[in-house]
Amino acid sequence: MDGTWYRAAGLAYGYFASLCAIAIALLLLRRFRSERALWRRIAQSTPAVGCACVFRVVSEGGKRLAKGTQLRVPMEGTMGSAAGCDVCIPYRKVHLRSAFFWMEKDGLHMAPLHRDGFLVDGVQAQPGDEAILRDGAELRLGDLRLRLSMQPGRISAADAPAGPYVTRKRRESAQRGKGSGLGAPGRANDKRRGRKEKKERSASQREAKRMDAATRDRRRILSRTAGLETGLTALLTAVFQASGMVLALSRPDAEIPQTARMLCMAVVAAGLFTTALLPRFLPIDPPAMALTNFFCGTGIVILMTVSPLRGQRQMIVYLCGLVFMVLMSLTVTRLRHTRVLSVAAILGGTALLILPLLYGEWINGAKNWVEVPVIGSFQPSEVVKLCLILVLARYFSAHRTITEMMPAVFFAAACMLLLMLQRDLGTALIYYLTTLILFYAACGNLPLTILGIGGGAGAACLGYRLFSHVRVRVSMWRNPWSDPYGGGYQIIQALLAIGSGGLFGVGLGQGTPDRIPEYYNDFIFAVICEQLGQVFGVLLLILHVLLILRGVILVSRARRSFEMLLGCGVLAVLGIQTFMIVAGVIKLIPLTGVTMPFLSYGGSSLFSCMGMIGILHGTCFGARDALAGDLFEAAPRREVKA
Amino acid sequence: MKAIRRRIRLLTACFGLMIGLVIAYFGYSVSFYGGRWIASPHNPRISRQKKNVVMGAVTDRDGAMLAWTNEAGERHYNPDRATRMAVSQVVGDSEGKVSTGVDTFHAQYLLGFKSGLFERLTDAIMGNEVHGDDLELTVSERLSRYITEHFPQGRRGAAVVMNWKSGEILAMVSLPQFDPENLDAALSDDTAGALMNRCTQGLYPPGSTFKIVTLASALENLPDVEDMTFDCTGRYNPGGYSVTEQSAHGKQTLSEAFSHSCNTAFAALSQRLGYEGLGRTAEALRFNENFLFDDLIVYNSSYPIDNLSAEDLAWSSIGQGRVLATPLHMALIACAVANGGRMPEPRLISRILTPHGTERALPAGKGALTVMPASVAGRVEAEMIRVVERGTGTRAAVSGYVVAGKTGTAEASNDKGIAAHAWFVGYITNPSAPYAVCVLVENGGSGGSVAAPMARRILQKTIDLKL
Repeated sequence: MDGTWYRAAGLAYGYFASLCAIAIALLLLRRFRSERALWRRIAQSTPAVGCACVFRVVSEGGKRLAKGTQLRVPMEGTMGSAAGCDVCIPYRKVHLRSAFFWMEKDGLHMAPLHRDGFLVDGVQAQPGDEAILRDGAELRLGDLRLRLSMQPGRISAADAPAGPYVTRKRRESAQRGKGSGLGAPGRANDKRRGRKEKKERSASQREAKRMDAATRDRRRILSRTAGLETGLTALLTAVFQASGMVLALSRPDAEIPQTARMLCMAVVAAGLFTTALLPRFLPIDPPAMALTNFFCGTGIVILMTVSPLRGQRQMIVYLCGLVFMVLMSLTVTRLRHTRVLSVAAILGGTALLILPLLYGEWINGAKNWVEVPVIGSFQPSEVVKLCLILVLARYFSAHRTITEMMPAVFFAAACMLLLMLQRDLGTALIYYLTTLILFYAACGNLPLTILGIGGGAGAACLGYRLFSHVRVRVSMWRNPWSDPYGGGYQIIQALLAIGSGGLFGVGLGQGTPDRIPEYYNDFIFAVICEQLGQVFGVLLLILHVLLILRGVILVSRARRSFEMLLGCGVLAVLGIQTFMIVAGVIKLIPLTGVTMPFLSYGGSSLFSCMGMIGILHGTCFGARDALAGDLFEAAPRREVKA
Repeated sequence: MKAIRRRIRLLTACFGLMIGLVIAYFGYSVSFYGGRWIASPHNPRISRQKKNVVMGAVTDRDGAMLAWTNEAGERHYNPDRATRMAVSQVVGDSEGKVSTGVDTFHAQYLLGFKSGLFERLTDAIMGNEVHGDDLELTVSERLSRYITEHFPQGRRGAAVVMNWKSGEILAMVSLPQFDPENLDAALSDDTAGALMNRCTQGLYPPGSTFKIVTLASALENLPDVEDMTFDCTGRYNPGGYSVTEQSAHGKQTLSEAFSHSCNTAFAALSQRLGYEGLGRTAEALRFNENFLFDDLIVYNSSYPIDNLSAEDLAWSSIGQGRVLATPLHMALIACAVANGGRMPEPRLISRILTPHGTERALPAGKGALTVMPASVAGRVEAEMIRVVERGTGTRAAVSGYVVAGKTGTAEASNDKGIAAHAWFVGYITNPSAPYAVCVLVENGGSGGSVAAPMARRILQKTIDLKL
């Protein structure tokens, strides 16, 4: 392409990018709104949605709780007279928080939270016990009597041992990993199953298959209801990516590898495919997918323009990352043995973090890379983020005591220690904040959280004293202009790039990005602002907020605290990382060497980000599946009534 | 579950706030500092852009060419050597050595960083040679040359002439000067400091001119101040070290003390005001403020506000000690007094002309700021008029006009052998000729005998030129 035309097209592309981002933001907001309305409608029309079973009040409990009142019980939560409880019993003789319950395939499990405990069919349960209630069981809280009534499809007869009973020692059984998945659906006890039961099972399987088909229908309905906006978003993203790539490939002075052209086409196609088609077969949330593709596409276009070889590598990682994302999503939706997986994550994560200390080399004052054959350089701390989220979610979920949470806290502390030894303080900070956020979200223990923040601040002061490069970073944050060609060079060049870009940028492929050290990595935000404009930079931040918002919508639909915390961990990591790097680049906080999620060049980073998005897809999908099932169950009953 | 959901929503709100903070800070820093970042001497994009873009021309307020780029892409300055030297620090140089010069600081206009979509696109599509915007400055080349020629021979210093109504800078002369067509000579002689614009970057002790601030503070904070009398014995001793005066003025009112510029009286007054009272007025008059004017870079003037000792406070009140100010800032204070307490924003650019012949909108700026009550400004003006009528500044009087002013003789060193800096800050009160002036002669001696006559000449010439 002629140089003049290239410049004109690059300029126009800057404006187009901003327009695209605005359009995508508006489309997605519209979709969020319509979807919210849809979920409201569903919740109103079918009250059984999300409801595991119902407690009927047998004895009268005060003035506010009449005989015969129905208490809807969700899949997991707390029971008590406090307003914040999931099953709120407005009767003052019931303790504020009397029990924690969760639904499994063999019945409703309940564990007392108060030392008075409760009675199930006359059997006393005390803290440390775990009761399994089935249809018709009578629960006594103080002098209040409740009777459980369960929909027939909720528990499979094959899994259910006879009669309601109380099992001793909840903690022990939880540690054995049998029966109480603590947040995850339970496992069938295969050993005790006889031939007759097998026959029944095959019948129930047929029944299940029929239900599955209906579930899929429901899923389609659910995914199609607001599909227009997402489809348009995907299309817009594809056009945005494709035009950017055409521009990048036709750069007059660039040497483009032959395979890059093929890869570009593959990336655009993959973007369209994953948003528009893949959600039909696999647990993928279209809006979150569309946003992910937009971010990755922006990063790839910029990288292809400023450094084609890196762009090419990024594209390969992106395509592999999509596969990884799907795998993670499937893993999370089908997760049964959280205990095995989390122990594996603890061991594997620790081992991975020790690797750079043994085989790594000091690069830029940190030792966080390992050379791996075939893949090239690899940063374990990025992938271990996934392990951390998993372990934290598992050990913080299902209403645990502080001591029961300790394994995860120790694992996080070990990770942070190893990262400190590698001098990767930015990542250590991400780990620390994620742990703190998940701790607060899980137990809401404000004093301990504040203590944790205080401890972190103390550690930060200690780090400031101990590490000279931290002191340099802080002084360069306070006044980079004091050493414009030394310590302040990076940040000053980033600011100059942002300032020179103007509102709508100097145009794709224009400007001098290579003057900023690490322009393709930590400072990609500055390069984007220079080439595509400050407006686009701000829009990118707004889209990041939208992704987080989408995540929160998905997470709040989850029915188990494990899924909820898993999603929350993903959001925490993505949010903290975005904030830290962008605020660092614009000199709001001292610079920490972390990557910008999805945009920065870096195989490990992009790979782990895709994995995290996969987890997010997975967490939401369980809920949507269950919703579809509920809808199916709800529908025939209405027909009978009519 | 409900509780977890609630806490996650709370955390999300926190995150949203944080990103909001990032966006707000981003917008703030880009809008306030973005132009400065482009103009930074560390910006490699400027030299790159110079190769691709024909830099715009710079003219003075009467249309005289000060700088332009020829067909070969070379930057040239006014053919008359005296003229181009008189405005050398204002206009700057082709290599960006004068970072505060228009050629560097306003490179965003001159190099076309500010052009809109349509202009850029048409240029790019048509394959036109890209031209930057032309700038018309508010300074007058004739007045600048006049000031340079009549400045005390061989002295270094600075002179600023402003329109106190509009804030336009009519002349900004800093001596010594350099020849932008012969930059190597200026660069080789690094002792002269010719590349520095003393009006905006020179931080000097303001000496007695600072008494305008002390007076304003007294009039605002002490209701009985005009009934007070001061007994000047030639020495005032607030603690340890004493403030001295060459001769005792005897018993005097505040008004007399101001027109005599009596140090001991003001040192005594400062003890009544306290460091908080004086510090508040000084900061209201924009000492210690990081000036972010759209048109030019002005260094921060400093007034110490940490807990002052009595002695420190006494010295500060008469503009010595740790008090430092730029000549432009002192001129702005005069403008504020003239304007009834409203300090205008200094303007250096009067028009921006695009290569297509249209005019680009000027940055809006923050406009005039109220820095002191109008009643106080009126009373300070009366005192300043008295200074020129029968006080230390009589030599600044312009026939036919009422001039208000204040002289200053600032000791820059403890060594008595080195002469003090001579200051004069003043303005014409007549609204038909709204000119404010600030003259500083480095080591010139007495403000009343060196700076005041210079100020009179400048004001007279400005009136003659009808700027």
